[in-house]
Amino acid sequence: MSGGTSPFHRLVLGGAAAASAAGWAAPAAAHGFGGRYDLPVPLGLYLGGAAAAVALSFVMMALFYRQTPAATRQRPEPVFAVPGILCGLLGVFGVAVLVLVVIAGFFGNQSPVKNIAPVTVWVLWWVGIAYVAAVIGNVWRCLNPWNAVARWIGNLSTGGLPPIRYPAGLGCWPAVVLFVAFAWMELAWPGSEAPLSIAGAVAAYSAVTWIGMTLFGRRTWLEAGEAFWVIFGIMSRFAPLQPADSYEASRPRLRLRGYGTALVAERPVSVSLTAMVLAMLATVTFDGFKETSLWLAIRDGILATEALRPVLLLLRDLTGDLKMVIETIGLLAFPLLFTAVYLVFSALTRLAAGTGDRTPTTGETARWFVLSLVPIAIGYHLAHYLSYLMIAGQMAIPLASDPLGQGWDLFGTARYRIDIGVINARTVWSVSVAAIVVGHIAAVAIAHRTAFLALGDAKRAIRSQIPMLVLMVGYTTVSLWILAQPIVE
Amino acid sequence: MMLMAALSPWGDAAATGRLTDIRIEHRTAEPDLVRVYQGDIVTLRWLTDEPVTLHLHGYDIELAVTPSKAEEMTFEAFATGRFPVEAHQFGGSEEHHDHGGEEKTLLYLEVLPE
Repeated sequence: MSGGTSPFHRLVLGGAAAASAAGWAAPAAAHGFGGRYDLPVPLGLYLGGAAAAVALSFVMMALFYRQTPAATRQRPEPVFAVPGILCGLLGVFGVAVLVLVVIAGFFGNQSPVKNIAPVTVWVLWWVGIAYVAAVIGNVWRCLNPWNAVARWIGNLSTGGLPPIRYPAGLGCWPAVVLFVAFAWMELAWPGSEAPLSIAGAVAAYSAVTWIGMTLFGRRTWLEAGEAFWVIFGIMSRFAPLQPADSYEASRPRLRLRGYGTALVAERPVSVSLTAMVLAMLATVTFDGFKETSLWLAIRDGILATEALRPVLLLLRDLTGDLKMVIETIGLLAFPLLFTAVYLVFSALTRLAAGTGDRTPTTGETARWFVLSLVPIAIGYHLAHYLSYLMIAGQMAIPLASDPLGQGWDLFGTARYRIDIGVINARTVWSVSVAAIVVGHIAAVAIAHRTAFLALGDAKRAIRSQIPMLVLMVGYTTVSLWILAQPIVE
Repeated sequence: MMLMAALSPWGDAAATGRLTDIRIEHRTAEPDLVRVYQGDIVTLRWLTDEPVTLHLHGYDIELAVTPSKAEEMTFEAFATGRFPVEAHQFGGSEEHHDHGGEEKTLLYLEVLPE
């Protein structure tokens, strides 16, 4: 029985669209925009999922023991061309959305549920694009509005100052910093729901991106400083559709590969990219962790600690918002914690590989295997956001007809009411646990292949993977545990 | 919690009615967790020691309660999930607002799948 016509759904707040959405908004700083209504995964399913992950890991190790994983691709991978116009049109669409978000944010109704900016940024873009990038392919390469505009201007301009040479050692650190700032906005910033704040942030990020492109060259800046180019790029390495050549080709070609094969690194990645991957893993996990009662207990513990009192009082006087301060501390501490744990296990992996030629250093090991952890983060991201995407995402329907909250009805959908029953808890639980377990299996497989590439010897490779397996089981179990916790605010 | 089997107003086969009494004292609710099943006809009956406006998120039901009498919210729990009931404006106020200030979560309603 759908909720749309039942007389029991009394809506006291004015305006059908606003009311159906208003029931949906949660206090600011909950989660980018709006609340999540997920039920905790039942204990049996959580333990079953963890057990399955462990059991399947052993099965995979046994399989690898019997058969050396191929070091090189043996089957030719299908390559097909994409019409350049398709990519161009997606770019136009991306620019249109950028303009809409900025205009709506600056000039539209400032209620988060009457303005199209919050749902577009926090649900359709951040969650939606991540889903598409991880499961299908990196659609952001075409949608990226900053790249699209820069290309159009580049096509028009006839020359100008040559770009400054980008310092090679800097890698993608600017992107890392920008991404952590974005994660802070999503998870700790109380202004994250406000349309004006969103428009301001988007405008500022656009300025930074275009300035970076002007100074260092468009392509250089994309890889070095466009945080979402890098992040969606990392996620999309899991996907089957990979770019076959430079994205500058007029008819870009895509290669169809197996899921996760692009995460098998042939050589260690850069320090900055390693940091980016660890930052992504940590922030995705912190997103869920900060909604657990364990986090609330930690937060209360910090507030009650006598030794920290003067620092906390100072921070509160400076910022006026102690909750935000502590969440910021947590958000910064998580990547450091992840890095420390990961480096320990990298050292153990190196030890387990034994001595011999081709043994990498701990740092090289860390940089070589970091991509193999990405599927676990993707699985968790899918699980954590599934019902949010399906419930919050519906906000786009009435807001498409009234994006600025002025009472318009452009497409006749302004009176649409969100259906909170669109997805059932059992479905969410099953998909969530399955996504995490599949992510875990993929991670184990990728790490094994990477080990073989790195060490060349099957037996050493398998031995070296035992610490990595322990780390992955730990990370998977933590992810499942978070899903099994009731959400508290 | 009282269980009453009743014919649903929609003429379906018997749907389970569940009534839960909740008392708000010193800005805390007792109980602070209510569990029902999908499809139940849920009645939350509220008693409070100071005027408050309550908001059940998700189902989007608002209710103003004063100390003088118990008030009820009744609805069909058609959607599963964990839904907070928040207190807006302890002390009472006539204005509606847009969730700008600090709101306290009093209670969680968990609607479990059948």
